[in-house]
Amino acid sequence: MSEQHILDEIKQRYSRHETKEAIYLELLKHGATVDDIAAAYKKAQQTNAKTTEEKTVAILITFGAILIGVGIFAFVASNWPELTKTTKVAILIIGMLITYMVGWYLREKTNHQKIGDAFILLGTIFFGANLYLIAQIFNIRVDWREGMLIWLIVALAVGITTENRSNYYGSILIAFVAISSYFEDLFTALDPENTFYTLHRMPHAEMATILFTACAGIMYFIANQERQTQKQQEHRAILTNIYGIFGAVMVVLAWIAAQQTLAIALPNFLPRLMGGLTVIAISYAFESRESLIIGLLAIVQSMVSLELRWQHLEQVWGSPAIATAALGIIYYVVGTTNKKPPYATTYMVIGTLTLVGALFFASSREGIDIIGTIVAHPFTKPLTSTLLIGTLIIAAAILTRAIRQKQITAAESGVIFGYLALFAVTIAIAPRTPQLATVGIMSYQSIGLTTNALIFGAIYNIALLAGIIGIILSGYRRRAPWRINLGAVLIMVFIIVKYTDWFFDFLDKSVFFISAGILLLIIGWIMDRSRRALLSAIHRQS
Amino acid sequence: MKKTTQGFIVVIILQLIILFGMAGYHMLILKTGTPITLKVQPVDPTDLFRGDYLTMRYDISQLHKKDFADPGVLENLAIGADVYVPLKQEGAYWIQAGKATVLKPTKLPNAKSSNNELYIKGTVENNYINYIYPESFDNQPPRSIAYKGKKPDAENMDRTIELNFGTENYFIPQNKGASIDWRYDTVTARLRINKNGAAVLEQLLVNNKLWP
Repeated sequence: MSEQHILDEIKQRYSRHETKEAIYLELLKHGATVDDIAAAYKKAQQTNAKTTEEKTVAILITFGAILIGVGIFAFVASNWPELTKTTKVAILIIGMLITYMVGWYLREKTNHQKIGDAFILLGTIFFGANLYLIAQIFNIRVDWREGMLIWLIVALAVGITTENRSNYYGSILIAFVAISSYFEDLFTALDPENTFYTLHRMPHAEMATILFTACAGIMYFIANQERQTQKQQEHRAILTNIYGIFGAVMVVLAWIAAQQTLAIALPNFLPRLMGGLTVIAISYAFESRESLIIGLLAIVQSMVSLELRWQHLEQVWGSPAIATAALGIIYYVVGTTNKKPPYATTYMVIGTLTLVGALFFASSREGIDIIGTIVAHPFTKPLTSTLLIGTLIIAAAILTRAIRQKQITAAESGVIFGYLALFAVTIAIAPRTPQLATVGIMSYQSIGLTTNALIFGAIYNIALLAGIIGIILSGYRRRAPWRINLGAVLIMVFIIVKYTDWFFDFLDKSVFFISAGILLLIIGWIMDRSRRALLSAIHRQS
Repeated sequence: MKKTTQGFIVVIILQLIILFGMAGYHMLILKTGTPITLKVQPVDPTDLFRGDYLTMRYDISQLHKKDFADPGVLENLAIGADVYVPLKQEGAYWIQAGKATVLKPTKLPNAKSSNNELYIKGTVENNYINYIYPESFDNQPPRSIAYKGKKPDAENMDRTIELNFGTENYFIPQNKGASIDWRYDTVTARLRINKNGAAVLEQLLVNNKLWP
C-alpha cells in the first residue's frame, strides 16, 4: 500500500467519523505498517484542521462583509440632508467601485482569495443598496420588486465571472426575498374572484417577464455547472437543489408575468399550466428533480384554478376536489411506471399528497356540502363534465397500462380502482342539492348535515383513512421508508383535522381521544406485524 | 488579460450603466421638466431599511367614469396600464384640465389657448366597481345581497380608478416624520414633468415652505 493510498484512505474514513482504532485495524488488515499509518494519520489530521480553519475563516469573513454592507446600507438610508443628489449618487457608486477593486486586487494580486471573495460579495451588496438608495434619492416608489430581480441577476453574473461561491450563497438570500415579494402573484389563480376579474396585473409585467426569464436561465446555468463538478461535495449539491427550485419558480412566474404583459383577460390557469410543463421539460433536460416538484405542483394549481373558473361559469360546485384527486392518481401511477428512481419517488410523493389533500377537502363538512351539488350532465354543464370525466378516464387508462406492464401491485391497483369507482359513483348519483340542512339564510355550521350527507361523509372519511393506512402498508411491502414516514405524518394530520372538523360539535372530547388512541394502537399493531412479516421474509430468503 | 477579469469588468460596466441610467433619467427630468405643484393627502409609515417616508395621494389619484374621455374602456382597464391625465394651472396649484385617456395624447387639450397645460402619466393601481345608491344608504339592502346572482344595473354602477404616478413616496430624514402636524398644516408637492408625462417628485412643501 503506497503512502498516498494510505493517506487517501484515512481522509475518507476520517470524514465518515470512524474511530482511530477502527481506521488502524482496517489499514493493518490491508498490509500497511503501524509507522506508515501513524505518519499518514498525523498528516490527515493537519489537513483536516487546515480545511476546518479555512472554512471558519471564510464564514467569518463573509459574515463580516454582509454586516458591513448592511451597516452602510442603514447609514446611507438615513438620507443626509446636507449633501446634494449628485454627491450622494457619486459617493454610492465610487464606494461600490472601490470595494470591487479591492476584492479583485486581493484575489488576483495577493494570496488572500477568501478575503477578496468577501469584498466582491460586499461590492454586490453595495450594488443592491445603491439601486434602492438611488431610488430613495429620487423618491421613486417603495415597492420596487423588479429591483430585487435586477440585483439577483447582477449577483449571479458576478458569481459566474469571478467563480465566487460567496456570491452564490448571497444570491440565495436575494432570490428568496425576490420570490417572496411575488408570492401573491403566484397564488392569485386560486382566488375565485380573480377568475372573473382578471384585471389583477403585476405592475411592470413586461420588465418582470424578461427579468424572471433571465434569472431562471442563469440559475439553471449555474446549477448545471455545479452538477457537473458536484461529485461528493455536499455544499455543491445543496446549491444545485436550491437553484433548481428557485429557477423553477422563476419560470412559472415568468409565464404569469408574460400572461399579464398581454393585458387581456386570459384565464389564470394557462400560465400555471405552461409554466408547469416548461419546468417539467427543464427538469428532464437538466436532470433537476427539484424542478419536477415545482412543475407538478404548478399543474395541480393550474387544474384547481381552471376548475374554480368553470364551476363559477356553470354554477357547479365540488368538481375541483374530484378532478384534483384524479390528477393525484395520474401522478402516482406515472411514478410507479417511471424507470428513474428519484423521479419515480417525486411523482409518487406529489401524487399521494395531491390525492390525500383533495380527499381531506372532500371528506370535510364543507367538502361534502359542495360535492353534493356536482352535476355531471354532459349537455347542460359541458365544461365541468368534460374535465371530471376526462381526468377519470385518463387515470383509469394509465392505471390499466401500468397493470398490463406489471409495474403496479395488485393491492395498489385495487385501492386506486376503488377510488376511481368512488369518484365515478359520486358524479353519477350525488344528489343535486346542498347537503347541509339550512334554515332561511342562516349559516349551516351549527345546524348539521342531512342523512345523505352523513353517508357520503362516512364513505369519504373511510376512503381517506384507508388510503393513508395503505400508504404505510405499501411502504413495508415495497421497503420504501418515505411511504411509512409520510403515512405516519398523515395519520397525525388526519386525527387533528378530523377532530376539529367533525367531532368538535357532537362528540365528547374524551370519546374522541379514546377513539383516536385506539385507532393509533391498531395502526401501530398492523405496522409492527408487517415489520415482523418483512423481517421473517428476509430471514427465510437468507 | 485573464478571461475571468474581462467578464468581471463587463459585469461592473453593466452595473454602472444601470445605476447611472437610473440616476441620469431622473436628474434629466429634474433639470429640464416643467415644475408643477399638487395638493397631497399624506399617511406616514416607516420602511425598516430606508428610514421614514411619506406615502401620499393627490387629488388626481382617484378618477371615476366621468373623468375619462372613453368610459367604455374602463371595464377592461388592467392594473398596471397607463393613463394620461391632462393638467392645467389654477392659482398656485395644478388640477385636472380635461378628460383622462388611456392612449398617449398626440395633441394636448386646448393646447393653442394656453401654454400652461400638460399631462401626467400614471399607472392603474386599482380598478373597482362602485354601486351608486339611488336614494339614502339606509334604505338599500346590503351590497352582498344586492349583487347576489345578478349584475348590478349599468346606471347604478361607477368605477373607481386609482392611479400611481411613481411620485407617491417622499423620503424624509430619520425621526423627522413627527414634525408635521397633518391636522393644521397644508402639505403640497412640487413635481417636475417631462414632455412624455413622466414625473419626478422634487420637493415637499408644508404651508408653502420647503420641507424639511
